[in-house]
Amino acid sequence: MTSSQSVTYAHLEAASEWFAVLSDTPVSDIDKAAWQQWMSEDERHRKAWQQVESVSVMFSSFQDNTSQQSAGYVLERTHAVGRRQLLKGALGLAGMASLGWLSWEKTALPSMVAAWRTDFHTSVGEVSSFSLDDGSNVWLNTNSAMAPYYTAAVRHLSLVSGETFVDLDNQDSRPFALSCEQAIVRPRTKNVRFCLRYLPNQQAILAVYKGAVSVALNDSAMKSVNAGESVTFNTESFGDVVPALALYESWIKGLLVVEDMPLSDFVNELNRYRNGYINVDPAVADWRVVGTYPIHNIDVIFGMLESTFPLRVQKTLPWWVSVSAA
Amino acid sequence: MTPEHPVPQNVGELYAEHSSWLTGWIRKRLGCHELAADIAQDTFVRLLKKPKYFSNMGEARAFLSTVAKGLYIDQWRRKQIEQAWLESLSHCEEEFYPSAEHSAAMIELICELDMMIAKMPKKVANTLILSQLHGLTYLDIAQRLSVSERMVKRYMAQAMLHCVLLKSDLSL
Repeated sequence: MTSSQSVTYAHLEAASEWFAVLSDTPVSDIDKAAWQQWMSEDERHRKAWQQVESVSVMFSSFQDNTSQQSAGYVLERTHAVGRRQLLKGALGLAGMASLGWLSWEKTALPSMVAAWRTDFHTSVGEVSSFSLDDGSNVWLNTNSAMAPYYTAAVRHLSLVSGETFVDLDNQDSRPFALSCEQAIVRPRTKNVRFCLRYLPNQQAILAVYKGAVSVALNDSAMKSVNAGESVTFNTESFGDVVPALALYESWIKGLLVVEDMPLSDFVNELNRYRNGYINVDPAVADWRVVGTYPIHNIDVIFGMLESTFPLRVQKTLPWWVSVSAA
Repeated sequence: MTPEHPVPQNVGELYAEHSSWLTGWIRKRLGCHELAADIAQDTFVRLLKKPKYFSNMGEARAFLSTVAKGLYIDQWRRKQIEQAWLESLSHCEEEFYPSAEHSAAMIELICELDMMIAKMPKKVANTLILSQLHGLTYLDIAQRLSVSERMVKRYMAQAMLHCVLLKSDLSL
């Protein structure tokens, strides 16, 4: 390997250019991929990038937004004064001009367009509940969408993307169905509580917490799933029925409950709730995570991880976090 | 200044030889005896950490006065930063008012950042601050500084390179 070779000016220059590319959100997938490619090419690229990280982390080590912006204020002001003028001031040759605050505004947050309310939507990081006219409730997890179709004759929900939890009060006489790309889920008992979530690779998972449901795959295979069970499936076939994880239910209360989950999987789970990328050092990827974590405060979760494991979590760029051994 | 003057090589001797001269030199500029004594002290502490050898007394005094000047500019700047920080707090609502401990840590961090950006061109420094601390997009920054977005990106790269070079000792 090239690890014995040292980082040169050209490496630092390239790393700085990457920093400039990645600091303006949103970062395109092409840029992310190109950067990862560059990182994987050479040990010295990674070393140079580490140096960029160590500078960048100074800007993000402020406790909160207010402090960070105040620091920005102060620096803008002192830098505007300039060293040479300060020297004069220090020497008592010229009084300090009283400078007003440079004008600045807060970052205008991208405003969400929520015009089309027939559909249920959540943005990244959002968990919402919706009430239906039959007295049932559905929840949508982060970055999810659902189309409800409730008429005088039928109750039909369609999960477009993401993850939903349904608490169905089945007193209503209209038939109920929840569809996804792979299957249609129907209740087999009066009251049912279950979660349906899309997984990567054209798969989905169903976890049942109360009552029983039937799952009919598009290719007509059927299976009944009872409380306490879960099953993954694609359009053609089912996986094994296994005990339902607490995770698929706890999110509606804003909690991630995990039992013996590899750190890398846990981080993937966290990443669903934020825009960005969390890099996990392969050396710690298999460490097992157990516990209950608050979804809506990822910084707290990182703090909990750091206090449980000999880990270091570094926030380098707004969208970039690295997790490594301390 | 006599070139034949024996030049002391250890800091103790340098101190005995030059400390009262240095204190006087600083006091004349700052007008405060206590502060001058502190800075003179710090100057010799620097020398202890990184010993230097002088071929004559003039060289020693030139070096000492340069270091002292750097130190009192840093002190002055630090005072400015503290003051600006306190002023920024007056814009702050009570519930967000930081603890004294937090403020001290903040001032420390700001001073470090300030040292890093001190020698950057103004627009380059502003770009870095607006992006990294105020969270503005390149488009916002471009409009604010009346430059193109491409220029903003170039400023960002330039700013980061400046910082990593400062930290890495590669800078000459």
